[in-house]
Amino acid sequence: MNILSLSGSIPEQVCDTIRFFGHGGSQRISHYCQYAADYISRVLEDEGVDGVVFPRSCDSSRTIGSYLEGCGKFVHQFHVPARRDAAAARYLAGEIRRYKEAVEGHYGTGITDMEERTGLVNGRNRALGRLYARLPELCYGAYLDMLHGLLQRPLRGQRVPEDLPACACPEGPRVFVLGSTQAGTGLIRQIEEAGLHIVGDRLPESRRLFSVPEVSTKGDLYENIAESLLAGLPSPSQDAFAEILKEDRDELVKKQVQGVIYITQKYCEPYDYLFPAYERMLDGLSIPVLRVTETGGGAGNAALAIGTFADML
Amino acid sequence: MSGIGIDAGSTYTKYCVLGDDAQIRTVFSGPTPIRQKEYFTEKLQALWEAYGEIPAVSCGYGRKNIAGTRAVSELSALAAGTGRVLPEAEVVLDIGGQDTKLIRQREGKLLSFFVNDRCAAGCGMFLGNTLHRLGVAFETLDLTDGRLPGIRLSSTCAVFAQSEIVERIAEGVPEEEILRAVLVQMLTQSKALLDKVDCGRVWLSGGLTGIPGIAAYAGAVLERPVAVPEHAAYLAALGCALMASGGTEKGREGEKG
Amino acid sequence: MAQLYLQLQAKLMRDYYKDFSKYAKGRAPSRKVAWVTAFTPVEILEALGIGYIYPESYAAVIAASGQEQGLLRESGRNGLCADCCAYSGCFNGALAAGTAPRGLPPRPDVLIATNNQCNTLPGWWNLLAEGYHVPLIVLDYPGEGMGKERALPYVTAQHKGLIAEMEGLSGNRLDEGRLAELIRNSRRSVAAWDRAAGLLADRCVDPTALFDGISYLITSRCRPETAALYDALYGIQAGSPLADGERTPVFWLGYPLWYHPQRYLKELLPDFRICGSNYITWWSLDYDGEEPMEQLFSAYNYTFLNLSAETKRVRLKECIDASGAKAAISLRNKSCKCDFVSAKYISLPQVELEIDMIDRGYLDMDRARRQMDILRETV
Repeated sequence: MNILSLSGSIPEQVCDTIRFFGHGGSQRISHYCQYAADYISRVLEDEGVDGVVFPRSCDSSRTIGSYLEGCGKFVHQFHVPARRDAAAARYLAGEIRRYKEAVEGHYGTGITDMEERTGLVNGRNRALGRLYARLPELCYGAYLDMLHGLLQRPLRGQRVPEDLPACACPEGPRVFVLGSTQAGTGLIRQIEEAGLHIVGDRLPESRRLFSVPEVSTKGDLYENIAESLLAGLPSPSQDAFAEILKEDRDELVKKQVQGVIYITQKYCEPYDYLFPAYERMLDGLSIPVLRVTETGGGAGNAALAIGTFADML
Repeated sequence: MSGIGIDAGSTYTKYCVLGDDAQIRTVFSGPTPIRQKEYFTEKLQALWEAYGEIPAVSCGYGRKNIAGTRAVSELSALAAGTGRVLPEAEVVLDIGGQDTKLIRQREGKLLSFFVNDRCAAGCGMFLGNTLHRLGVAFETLDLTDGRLPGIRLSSTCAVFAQSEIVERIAEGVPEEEILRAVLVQMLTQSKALLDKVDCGRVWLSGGLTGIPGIAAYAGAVLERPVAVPEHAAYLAALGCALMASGGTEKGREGEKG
Repeated sequence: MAQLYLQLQAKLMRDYYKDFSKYAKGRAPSRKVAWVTAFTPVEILEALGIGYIYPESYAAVIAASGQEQGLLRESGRNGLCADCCAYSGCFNGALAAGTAPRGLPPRPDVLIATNNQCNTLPGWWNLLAEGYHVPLIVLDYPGEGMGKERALPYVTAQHKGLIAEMEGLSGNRLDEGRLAELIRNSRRSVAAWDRAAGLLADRCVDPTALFDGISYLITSRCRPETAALYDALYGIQAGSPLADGERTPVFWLGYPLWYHPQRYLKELLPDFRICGSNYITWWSLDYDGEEPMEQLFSAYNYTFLNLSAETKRVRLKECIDASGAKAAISLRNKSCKCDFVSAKYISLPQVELEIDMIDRGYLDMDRARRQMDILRETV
């Protein structure tokens, strides 16, 4: 079972998935997020991948299924609710059950270890949270590389290190990154090479991943997992701009951030719509922001923009 | 204090030397070679022999290949140079060999910037390739009559535009018409950057400023006043020289660093 | 008939625009105002006496008035990426600039967005909410994939939650009889529209009238006047002669071009006639069910754009077959990631044109002309 997952909202308590972090694929779809197009490429081109699970939370992921028709692999669209109230949690619980049944049906396997997996996810997230708290003194690039490698391994093989290399530029201007680095950590390396000190983030594979509350194994496990998933730091696709702005404002002030780097994919509409509101919030805090947009060809001359931003800070 | 500034662009490298009185002693340019490290070592040595071993700052794509200089962002340098030549110039549009940049500056300090580095049809290389294909020298370009071309290139992509240019040549369209159409295309690509800022007058910098009549021509295409400051092609090199001489805040910070 | 049509049209437009600043002249709206997306269950709002405005529709009006370019730039200066939906750029630009052809819409008391059309709209509405600091309600419609037994309770819970919130906002209690009546009105409007629009396949019907005419089904579908309007439209069109057999029937797959006087590239199609369009079928909602909650679920959870790829494919094929089209023109605007793969299952000569429905600057007319020439040769 090698199921490629596109989102951190896919519950790892059900079964192992390989988190997708970029692929230089051949698919080029007009006006479409290249990260999603690369995901499609990987599914179609990598024989090692026998299944996919993806959400319906943005315009690109909404239509992924149509590009995978006839691929002969396990294809499952997981509906992460756009709301986070009690009705959404009940619905999501049912959705998790449906996902489990679909996996069992396709792979001819019974999933009986969800409680154990829940404990492992809780433990891993705790460890990641501890590491994140030490970020100002650790090398952020090493941290994110570790995360990307970790999330591509089976849950039982995920070992969070106790320590990571120290930050090489602790005196550099303090910056915060958000958006999506799921296409790779190249930009993060460029940011650090420019002498900027990354002290925090709002990335789906980092702070958002382990922000979810611990899942209790007492009572209805599906409901508990659902409530936990909906209680974590939300994505901009979850009807939560106000919450995102408030949460990040607090984090930026607490960490005395001097600049924000907003990393998006071209044609990623959730982050495109969040940006004006986020920029206004940063204006209010007098924190400059650099927006870097990645396309299939990379982030263009991001080094120029990042270097200039570092100069400005 | 004096200083040397080197703007190592993708196609041309620009140099500026400031004297002890902070006045420009010389500005000049030359093609950026392929083998850069050796070339720049010799070039810098020659400058030191001529002007003394004064501090040197570099910017641009090739700056990492210039040993003996402090590297800075070319946009910071552009702001610094603009601030020196024309402090009131708020918005500067720089069409380089491989990218187009727009900056907002005040008194030499960079306020904001935008870069378009994805579209070759908006960059100097597009013009360079077309000139090469037509066998026309850049120095012969003259737009002082302000006339816009009678043809328009419909392709916004430089790759397809090249095919279109070949077709136009085959149809017997004069070279000058084609070149004017290429310039219109390049300037049109800049509009997306200009739309990001509220600006009246735009100041042009970069290699295009060497074309007589470019300001009015660009103004007609961009539909707003365009002007070319003194030393327009050398603003970033001047900014570097200022930083080297300690004539800017960044330059003084660099000294402390 | 024509007289009746114009009278009903004028009444609906007057009622819709009366609180826009150009007509209101400083007078506050007489009821609470919601800004809603195009597939919002407005029957609930109407039943509670809450007014509703469609920013998307107003963006179309702005483009039709020729004012969209400056407003798109204004929106860009305010941080909204030019890759985003031009409806949002145009409307947000109008808000930022404080100007629009019919004035600014009345300030919202609540914002309601749905994701049964695309995922852009909730993002856009979240951005509006940050600007207006009013409550935002996002209705989450799961579509087909989840099965009715799961989706119905979820959607019904949301609709009931919406009712409770809107009762609080309006100070009114929902009368279920009134809601049922409004749903019947919507059904009648849909039926009347389908009858009128169905004439496009065989008769000399001006597609412009339909591209413009559907706006009432969008903005006023539960008003009783709307069915009467479309009955009048049918009456006018039913007398049209049969379609010209000399011109090739072509299916218009995509949005109307709001900035174009005819809403489509008439000047490129002298030898074609538009015999069908998927856009004019999108609001033919199916209010199936025994009682209002089930009817609203059917209508709004199973909008065309919220269906599975397979179902969309089948429906689109049926629609195209029914139109008698011999060719198709498929439009790709600058932001929609609509499921264009469904077009690959249509065995008709097709051309794909990159045209935006709002931003006229996106159109390369020379290229469109060349592509139409190729379609012409293929047909």
